[in-house]
Amino acid sequence: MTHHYIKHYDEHVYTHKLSSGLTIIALPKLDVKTTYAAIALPFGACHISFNDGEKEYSLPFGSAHFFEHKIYASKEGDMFSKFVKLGLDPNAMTSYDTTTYFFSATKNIFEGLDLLFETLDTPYFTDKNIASERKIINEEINMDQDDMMTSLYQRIYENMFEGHPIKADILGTIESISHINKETLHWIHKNMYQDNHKVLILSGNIDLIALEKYITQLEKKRTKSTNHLLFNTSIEPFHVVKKRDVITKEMAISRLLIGIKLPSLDDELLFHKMKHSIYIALHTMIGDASDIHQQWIDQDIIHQAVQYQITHVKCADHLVIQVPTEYPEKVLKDIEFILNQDVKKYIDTETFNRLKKTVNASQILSLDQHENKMFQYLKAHFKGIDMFQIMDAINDVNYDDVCNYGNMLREYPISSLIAKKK
Amino acid sequence: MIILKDHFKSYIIHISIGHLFQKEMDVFSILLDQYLKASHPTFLTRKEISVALEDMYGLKVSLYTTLEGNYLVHHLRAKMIQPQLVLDTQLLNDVIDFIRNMLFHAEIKDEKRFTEEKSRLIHQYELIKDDKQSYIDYLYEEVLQKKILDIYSLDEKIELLKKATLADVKNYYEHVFKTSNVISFASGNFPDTDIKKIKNAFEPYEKGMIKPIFNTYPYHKEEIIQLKMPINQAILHLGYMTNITYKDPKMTSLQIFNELLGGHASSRLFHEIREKRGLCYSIYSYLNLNQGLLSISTGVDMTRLEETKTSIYDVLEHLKNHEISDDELVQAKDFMIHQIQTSLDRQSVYIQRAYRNHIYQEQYDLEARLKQIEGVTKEDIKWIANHMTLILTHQVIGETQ
Repeated sequence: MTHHYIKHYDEHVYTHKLSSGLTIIALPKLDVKTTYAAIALPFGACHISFNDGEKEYSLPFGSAHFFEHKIYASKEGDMFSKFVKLGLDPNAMTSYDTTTYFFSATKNIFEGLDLLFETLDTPYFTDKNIASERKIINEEINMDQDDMMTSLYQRIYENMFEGHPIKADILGTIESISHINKETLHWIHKNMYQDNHKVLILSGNIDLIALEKYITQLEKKRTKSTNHLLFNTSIEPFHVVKKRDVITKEMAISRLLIGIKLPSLDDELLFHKMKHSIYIALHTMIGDASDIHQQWIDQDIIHQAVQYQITHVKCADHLVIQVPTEYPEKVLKDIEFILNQDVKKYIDTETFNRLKKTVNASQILSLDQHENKMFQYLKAHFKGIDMFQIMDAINDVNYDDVCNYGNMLREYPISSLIAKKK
Repeated sequence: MIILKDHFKSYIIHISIGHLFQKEMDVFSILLDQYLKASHPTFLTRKEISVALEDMYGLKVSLYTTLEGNYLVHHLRAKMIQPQLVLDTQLLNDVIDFIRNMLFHAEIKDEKRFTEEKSRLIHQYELIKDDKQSYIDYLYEEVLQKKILDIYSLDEKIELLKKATLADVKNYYEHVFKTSNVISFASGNFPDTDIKKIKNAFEPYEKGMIKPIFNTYPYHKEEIIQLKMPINQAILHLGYMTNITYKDPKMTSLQIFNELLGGHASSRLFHEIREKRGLCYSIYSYLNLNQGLLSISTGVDMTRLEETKTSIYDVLEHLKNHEISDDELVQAKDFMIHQIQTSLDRQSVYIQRAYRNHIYQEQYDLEARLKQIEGVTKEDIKWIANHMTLILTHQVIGETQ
């Protein structure tokens, strides 16, 4: 394994690539008791269109998530119970652009890894078990639809995006998953679940000598990948479908959602610089320490802090600002006004330096969370960089970056959704 | 003061202030926590407080209350970065001053701030209604708790919050909060000088000790509640009285029973109701060891609600009448041991353990705890299954159903 020591953060990273194409990453910390392990692939809910240079292929919405559920089936029953029998806590998740299968362990780590490989290598799809899983996922979809914020997010995505698959929920719809069958799942397995797409990552308590031995055995067992399928990139125009939308809903408190499309940047580190600069700018302009926040409170307009979240998905990077308020029109008008002002009016270098202290401290503290560290490292890896480069990029954000990226927000396509209570 | 040395990059300072639970004080205790978070004797405005927290490298302060048997306990938890990592020798002094003044030297006199915080709290309660799943969970817990404790419902709480005055909260702070039992904890990779500073700051406030009592509730008639809401799924909760609370010798058996029944993704309920019959996406069981309650929660297809209930009863009947396999028992125990061991990597758990050790006057011994788990037998599991009583069926269905 190749070893990198990141002195600034006192972190060690070990990497290795098998001839099969499988990448192995270890992030050891000896003073913890738990090991977190995952196999992940850069294949998620937004990947529904592919080509092999000659032919085009497409999948129903919700396929990656359906596959993630069904791959735990085996002839002998549910693979989940085998993990539990080893004293491990297994789970899996599908995001817009990745699928991750993981477990935590305080013993039987390598037996758990064997089981994880076995789970992903030996699909067992039958018409009967697919029909049964469809019922379960239908209930998951129903559960999601009962969540008011999920339905509001879906609405604003419909208003923001023209054709990007982010518009569809990660789970798909009851209609879309009705088209998933054995052939769909086998196609995914054959084309996506090859070693050249997979990353095996461990974080926390890792016996590096034992891991070296495990890798040697793995090298003999794994088969070289042969597929060369390409994801079709969804071309999304840089404008919104609908600039203003007002709906009424059964809800206790009305809400305002503002969606802003962000430019797709080829430089991944630049994206993170932009993201954190925008967070700092928004914090000073409309965050809970801002003047407008106090004004809104004084006027009984809001009672909760304004929330904002940037989501990073290829060709669909975006920011959503969310406010529960009985005066959504007034808050919208105020936010639009503020976003059109020069950020320098809201932040001086003293404030910036203070906020940098909190950002830097939260970065250091995040290294204590080993499961989260594993997920963050994976996320960065699939974007072609490492997590510590991102941390450095965030630490490098300066006052001018905050002003420049904050001021650019007014140039970007914006869509607002007012959800009024009935 | 209890000091715990660990390897984390942060320090946690935790102060617990407990008094006997009194229903009429409940709303004031919630309002006090809210007021203390938003006002500080050293800083005039909310913005100044935010700036101070940012200046202390994003110090995170949370104030919340819990019930421990017949006691209500306020907790303040402050999490800060280890000062050595940011080379700031003043940081710990600033944090100590901030917490000490916020908690023990508060000035409850700002009418405007009080009104703002009251509105914020009422809104927070109203917002629960917008998250249907959480709201239904809340309603279920409310009905279940009301069967045992004399507490207010959500709507009653909102009405009482509206009526509460600054004078009520000031009175509560001066005459109940400040006279309550106080214990403090700190966990971190401390040098000796920092331990001394923390001890000097908080030990003078320590006094008394809470001694929770857990009641038993011998008989309850089953109650069935059905509500209608605009939802796509039926949400079902079943509440069982076990009468096994903290410190009960059967507590570990109940915990293993819960793991086996619905505590993980290979449990009986998950396997039978979700995997085998495809009735739901989520099904799980959980415990309330303060009142000795076991609950089962699931969201199911409206048309299959009765089938789901029957299937859950079948699972429980089977556990009453048949011995579980060795494998299943070992699996449940292993899963619980795994959860315990994994939790040792969370700094907040160190404090929780120390807090429990203190109020229940015990010395947590991991080896002894593992032995207790290993000692649970198949007969113990069967005994639990045969000694729980269904006291509440709470189901919410769609309005068009």
